[in-house]
Amino acid sequence: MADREFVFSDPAVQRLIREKFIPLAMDDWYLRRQKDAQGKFFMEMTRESPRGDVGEGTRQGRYVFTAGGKFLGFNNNRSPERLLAMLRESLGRWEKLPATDRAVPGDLGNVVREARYERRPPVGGAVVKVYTRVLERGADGALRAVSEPERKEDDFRHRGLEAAVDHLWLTAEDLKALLPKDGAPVGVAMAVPRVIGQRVARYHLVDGTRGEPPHWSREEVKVAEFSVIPEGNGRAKLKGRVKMETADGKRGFEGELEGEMVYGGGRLERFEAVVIGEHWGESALTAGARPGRSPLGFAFRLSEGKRPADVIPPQAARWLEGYYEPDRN
Amino acid sequence: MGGPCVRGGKGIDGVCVGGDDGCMMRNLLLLAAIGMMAHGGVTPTRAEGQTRGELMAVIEPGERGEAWLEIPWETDLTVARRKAAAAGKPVFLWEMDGHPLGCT
Repeated sequence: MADREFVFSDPAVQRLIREKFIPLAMDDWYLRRQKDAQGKFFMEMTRESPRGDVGEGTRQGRYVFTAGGKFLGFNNNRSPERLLAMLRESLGRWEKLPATDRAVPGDLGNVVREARYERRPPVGGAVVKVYTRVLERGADGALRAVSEPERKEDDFRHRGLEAAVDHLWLTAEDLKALLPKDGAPVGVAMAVPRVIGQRVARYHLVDGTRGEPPHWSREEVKVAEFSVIPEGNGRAKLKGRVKMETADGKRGFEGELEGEMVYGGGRLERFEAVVIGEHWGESALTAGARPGRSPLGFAFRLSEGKRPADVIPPQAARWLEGYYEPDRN
Repeated sequence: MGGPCVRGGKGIDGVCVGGDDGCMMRNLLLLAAIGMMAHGGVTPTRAEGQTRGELMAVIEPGERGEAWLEIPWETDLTVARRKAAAAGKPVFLWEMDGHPLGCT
């Protein structure tokens, strides 16, 4: 998240990347494991980089390379100036390459990923953006985003005050079970299918504002009650309450959901919900939490799916079966 | 709120809500908590008077928070290589353990 804030929101970085490069963002967890053509290409390309000797370890960072796989530059620093310098140096190397080295040798063929690492949004289902933000109470008592403390120009320390983002995937089967049938009695609450409630609670109501969050285990979900209340004419309210807590009580979240959906023909047309509650604790990858219990908010909104950034998989979908069947795994 | 009741109580989500003396204190605490939840249907953190739309606006990133998406990121290596070859440009890869466009 710090990279988004400090590096890729910088106008000079954005301009240079847009004008001179084809920008690509990928999850190293998948790519370094793939034994297919993409994985092999990536491992071969990074061989000459500073990450070339890490074996099976992480290769995260920023790389510049040719379409044919020639490595041109690497950087893994939050200073926009240092990234700009690396980009310019890489362009210098690119310009000195003979034309044959800039081109792709042969046809790239179709994209065929190793099946176990293939992740595509569910056909006939829905993708819902899930945003998470730490909150505070203003003088008027209203909840608001935590105000950013003053920072020095070269201070790229990540404070976790921006909105984190993940994606909730709902299958066609999920929608069939979630959406009220024609003639469902107005105002009578129906329980949200357990598989959806558990997926939301375990994998999406997590504090990802300071790094990769641990997901809740089945045992840590103490309460996950969600209901749909039909309002007629393809509209319904959503209500719910959750409580998750580790066995030692050191980390947890407790909150309530309120939302609304509009649907028709078995498809979601609108889905908006908020979960407001209190979070406490941190984990190895999410250090720096505020002390004690503090307000945390989640916003769910149906994604239009127009940008590549809208169709990347949920963080918890690395184990896809576990993601889709959270009440069994 | 302690562990599950092991003698006589009826469990809700693994917490004792009735039955024997050993659970009395936990029962009282639980009833108090349920009472707080039932009062207006809100948790103690929920700000009274804020609509769902207002809360979503507070939580969602907005234009400033999504400035990094002004870069037209590709998310498939082969597609990016193909585009790079056609455009006569190198590829810039942002690679993270956890997808850079959405896991935190």
